[in-house]
Amino acid sequence: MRFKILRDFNLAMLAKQAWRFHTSPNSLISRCFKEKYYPHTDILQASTGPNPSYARRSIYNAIWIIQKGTCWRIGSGQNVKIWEDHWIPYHNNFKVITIDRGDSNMRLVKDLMNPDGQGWNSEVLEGNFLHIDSSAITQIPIIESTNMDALMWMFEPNGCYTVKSGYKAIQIWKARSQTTARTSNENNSV
Amino acid sequence: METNLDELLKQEELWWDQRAKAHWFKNGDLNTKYFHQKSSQRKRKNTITNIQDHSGTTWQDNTKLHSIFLDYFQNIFDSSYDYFDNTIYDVVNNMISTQDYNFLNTPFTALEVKEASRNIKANFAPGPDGLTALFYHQYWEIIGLDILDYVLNILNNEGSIKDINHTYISLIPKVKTLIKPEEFRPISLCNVILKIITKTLANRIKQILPNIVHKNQSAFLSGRLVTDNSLITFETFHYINKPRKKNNGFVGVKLDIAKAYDSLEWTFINNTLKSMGFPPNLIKIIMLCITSVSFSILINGHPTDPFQPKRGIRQGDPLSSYIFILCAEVLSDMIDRDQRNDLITGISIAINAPPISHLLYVDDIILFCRAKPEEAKAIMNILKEYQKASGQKVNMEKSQMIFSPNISMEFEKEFQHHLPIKTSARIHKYLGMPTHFGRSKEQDLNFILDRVWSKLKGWKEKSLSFEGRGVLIRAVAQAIPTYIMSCFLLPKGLCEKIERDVCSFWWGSNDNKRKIHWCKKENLFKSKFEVE
Repeated sequence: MRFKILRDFNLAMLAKQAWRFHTSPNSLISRCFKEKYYPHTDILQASTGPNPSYARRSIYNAIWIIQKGTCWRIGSGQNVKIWEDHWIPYHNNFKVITIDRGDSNMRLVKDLMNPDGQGWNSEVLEGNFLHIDSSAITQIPIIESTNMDALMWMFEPNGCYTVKSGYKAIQIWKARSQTTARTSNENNSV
Repeated sequence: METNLDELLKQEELWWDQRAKAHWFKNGDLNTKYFHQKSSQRKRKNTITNIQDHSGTTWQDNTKLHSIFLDYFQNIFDSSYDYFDNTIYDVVNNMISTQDYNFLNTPFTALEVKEASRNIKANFAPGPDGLTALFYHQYWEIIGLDILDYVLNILNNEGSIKDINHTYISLIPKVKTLIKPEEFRPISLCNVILKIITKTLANRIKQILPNIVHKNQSAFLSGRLVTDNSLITFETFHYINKPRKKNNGFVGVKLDIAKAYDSLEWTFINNTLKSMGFPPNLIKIIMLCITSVSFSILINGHPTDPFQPKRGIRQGDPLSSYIFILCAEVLSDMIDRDQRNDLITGISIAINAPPISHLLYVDDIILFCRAKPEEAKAIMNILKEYQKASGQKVNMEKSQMIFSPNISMEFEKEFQHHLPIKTSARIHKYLGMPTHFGRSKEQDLNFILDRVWSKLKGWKEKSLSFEGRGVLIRAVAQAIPTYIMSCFLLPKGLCEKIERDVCSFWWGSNDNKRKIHWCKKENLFKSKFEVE
């Protein structure tokens, strides 16, 4: 018999609120929250903000789920940072594996595209990234350069967060971290 | 022979299934004691044995019961409307764009009607003709064309609706021991064929509502959630309670409207729709559906003599909810108008945040303003006018006001002088959500634990099998906290307590008997993805 773990389910539901704030920024509550707690940034990057209420702190506690389980769909590439953001759907943690040497002036994903916004600039890719990254990046489709970049929830086929898939994601991550913990324990004992 | 028996058994099961009204029940126990007990308990709870009339005498006699209820409801649905000032509707003038108007004005199609009929829940209580929606779903192939013809004739050619618009009022008890007729909630049981008509209308109207209805109303519209309102309320009270300079504070007013649906005046509905700019044909059909009703009250399963109401919309008719929020729009826009004219100041919780002066969830209204006598006066004026025009009555005794902590007593008194509502330290709940937390969240949220346990500990749950208990836990006990959980993180201690209760129920313990737990708690709550 498998009952829901209340705490995880709670977090999955709160993440839904965060997702709603992110996807419909014009609703009354999103505007109130934004002006009060994070007027200059997005809910996913913000800290709790000044004098947070319990509702704000509750939702803040669930932000990591959205952060961890989403990946950018590349449109214009203007809003996605190469080294920090999640934007490679083929990697396990959606991040670039190559280490940022900090010497190039490439910061945004846009810098890796051809100047006309059509397709990837293969020269730049091969010159700066490990093969595993550059081959993954070339596979990423660019959804018309006029389109905005958008966050996609990776546990649903249509990219929209649902509480059900959120709960499932938490359980998958838990199981993963347990197996890694167990294997590392076994290695230590050997 | 054997197949015959199986068939009979299946039929009996279905009968009990329908009778027990446990909509959450999907699998697990079949035709068992649980269902029998649940339905007999329901029967006992819903049977009316005695009633008190307005002079205070208690009656048990059946004919007297009928006449008391008949008197009471005839009184409620009776109207003595004498408000003919049409300026009140100016605030909602011409809200419908030409595009929406054209959309509303197109004739209804067979497809819409079919869609609507499919939307009606199959096993819900039927109306006076005794046919459930299941009948229509099941035999659509045979009767479908006739139904379509009939419904479309009414919708597009204004056919007569009177013969199908007879409605039973079923009485649902609000409290445990009932003596007064006020303590019942009247729910209308309409004929399914009428529901198909109104549902078609409702589906049409629903699509243009988001363009009309104010952002402060969060009921019945797709994309808007109750939690939006509760979160805003929570944030606003958080702001109200912030320490600040003396007497420069705010006030939150929670209004309680008595019998909101039953007392809505038909003239008000008609004028509102007209002023908003709905197509005349559509208004005609809507008003026809609302005004051609005749009611019979169901008392212990027997209908009383029919009577004609003169106001009110039915709870249980798919169209009513939308009509109601359209009418509430008038109130919302009146407050908005005064806010624009600086008579009422809304609360902005941050410098650039939108000022919020009121929030609506159907008939749950909460108002926010500065704690100044002038604003109290403005609010009172609006309420008076709205009450007169719409027939709604604000129940001043049950309403509450909450002031910022820095407001002095004299100041509160002055405010109260203009708006006679009693003050209280805090509203315990708005829309079922706490609006404010004290020092211990666990204490404030303890009611969840009580509610979960009260669902599990009942005597009838003892008769469930293991599998059945599992379904009960998943469908009922674990569903209770979800509403609160969608806005607040439950404290860890509380989660553990709930899980502990669930475990003891699972292994069969109750208040006076403890049972052995045969495996670790973690095994019950393990997820599918864990590797063994």
